Amino acid sequence: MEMALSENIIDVCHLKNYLGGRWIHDDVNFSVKRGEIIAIIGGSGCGKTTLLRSILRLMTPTSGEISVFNTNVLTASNDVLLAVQKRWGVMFQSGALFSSLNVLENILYVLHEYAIMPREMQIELAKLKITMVGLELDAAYKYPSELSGGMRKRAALARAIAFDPELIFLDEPTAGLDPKSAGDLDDLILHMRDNLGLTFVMVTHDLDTLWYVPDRVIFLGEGKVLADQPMDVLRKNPYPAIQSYFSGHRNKLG
Amino acid sequence: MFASIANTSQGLTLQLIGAWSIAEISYADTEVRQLLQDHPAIQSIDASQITHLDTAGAYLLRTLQEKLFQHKKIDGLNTHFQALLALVTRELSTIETSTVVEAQFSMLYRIGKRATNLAFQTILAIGFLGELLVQLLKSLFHPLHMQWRSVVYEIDVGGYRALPIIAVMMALIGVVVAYQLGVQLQIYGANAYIVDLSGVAILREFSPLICAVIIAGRTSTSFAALIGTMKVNEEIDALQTMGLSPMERLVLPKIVGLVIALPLLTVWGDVFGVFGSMVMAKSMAGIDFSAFLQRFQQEVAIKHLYLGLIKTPVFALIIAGIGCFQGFQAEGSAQSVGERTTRAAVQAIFLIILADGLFSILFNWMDL
Repeated sequence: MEMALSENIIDVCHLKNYLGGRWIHDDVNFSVKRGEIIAIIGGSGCGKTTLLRSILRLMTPTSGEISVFNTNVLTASNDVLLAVQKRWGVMFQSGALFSSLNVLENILYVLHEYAIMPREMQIELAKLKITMVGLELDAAYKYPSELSGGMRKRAALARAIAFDPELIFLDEPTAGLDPKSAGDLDDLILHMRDNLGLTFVMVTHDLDTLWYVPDRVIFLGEGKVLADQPMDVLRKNPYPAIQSYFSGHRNKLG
Repeated sequence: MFASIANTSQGLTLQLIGAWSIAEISYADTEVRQLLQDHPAIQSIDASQITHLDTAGAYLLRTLQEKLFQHKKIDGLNTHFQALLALVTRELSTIETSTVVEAQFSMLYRIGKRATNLAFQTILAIGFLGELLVQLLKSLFHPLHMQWRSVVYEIDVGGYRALPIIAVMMALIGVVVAYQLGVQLQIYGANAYIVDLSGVAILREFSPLICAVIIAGRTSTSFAALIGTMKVNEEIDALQTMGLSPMERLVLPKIVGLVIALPLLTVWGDVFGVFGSMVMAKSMAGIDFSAFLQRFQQEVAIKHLYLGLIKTPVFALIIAGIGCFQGFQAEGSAQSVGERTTRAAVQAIFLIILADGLFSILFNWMDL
């Protein structure tokens, strides 16, 4: 929550990825400032997931530079990388909660590993995270298989914020949720940004979320960032690929 | 440094300093408690020098305020941190007022749970067996309906690709059996009997049993893991909604495939087992290969081969049946798939040995 709002948290420079016989990314550049909410969109197969996986170090890009918290994550040693990893949280598309642990244990798992504090304090903090994402406390002792889709997303978010990260990645946060739950999740993201000063990077296709939540939208296509602007400007962007992305009948001019 | 004491216009003031973040809140906690012990009579709390506060820090502030600061106001917190503290306070009070506790189960409950589980499992197993039989009869009347392509695939994976491991294992077993017999028989100068004894032991007991145990470890577990993962991924449900029976599509080909493959593997095992004892007989008792084979033909009756082979379809049924059944019992989690896989191997091997014992009694009773 330091108020240095102009500080860049993520810098992606000249990122290139060659996968499955084609260039998924051909010179991708963008940066994310502290306290921003960024959405990454683009048609299927445009490399949104690959981009996210590259930033998260789940895969090594063909070339380019990615720095997170001013650390080049591609060349960082494991120790340096761990320090960065402790400062980010990730919520995967299907939650990726550990299926053999209940929700509370899922959150405690991270705290137990990294937080030096008494067990009772860890449990209290974990419960705090559960209520902060809007789950009822009795969900704490349920296993992922016993939760509904919306609850699972919230539990995954609670685990992502377990170690009070400054940066959170969300992969399709509202996919598969009913409009009410999706709306609540949108509010929750805005609320956490405003109250906790978190930075969000999300990949989404949900137009309602896109209009409501992000400060900027990064449009990936043809291996590049085709546009990097707020949603209302992007919607009027005449570039053909962008117009075709928004041309479906499910669109409304906001 | 997370706190210090200063004498200000407001009297003795506890000043909170620096970054109160999750990585260090434990140190902040001890430091504040230590300071308060030394200076019990603080008048006010000044938090204007806190540079960083996250939820864990806010949680600590709030706990300290309640327990040690006697609900004194915390001054100087900037608006963002105040909002965060308010948020955490609100959430914590909902936690404290809620009455949810983790269910604690008594010993009696757990015993009862296990007993009912066991009963349910037995009923389910009988149901599975019944469904399997019905499906088997159906395919007997409509053999063209059978998924022959899958059957061939199962024979390839579960049978053909197990040939090397069976060959190596059985050759070693043959060597060991012949050696142990040889040691005993040499005492009586009855070296030639190595051929009869090891031949009978391998054909009748060792080859069927060892092959079945190896295949149980290899194939039963793979069936359980495969079907278990499919169940967790709702692939089984998908099959059912297409009007296709998982029993017919998944289980039957595996069972038929293994019932064909295991007897063949056992014959293959017989060959290598006998070869192993042949090598041992030559190096230990000086019995030539040709002499060994000649005596083998004369002394080892063909019925021992048949008695060994007749058991193998039953073993195959146990291996494939248990593997598939355990797979279907998996639910929800990765752990449950792992658990079911283990159970498949343990139960299959247990039942194979049990069945082998029953066969021995039966053959003895029939004077075979």
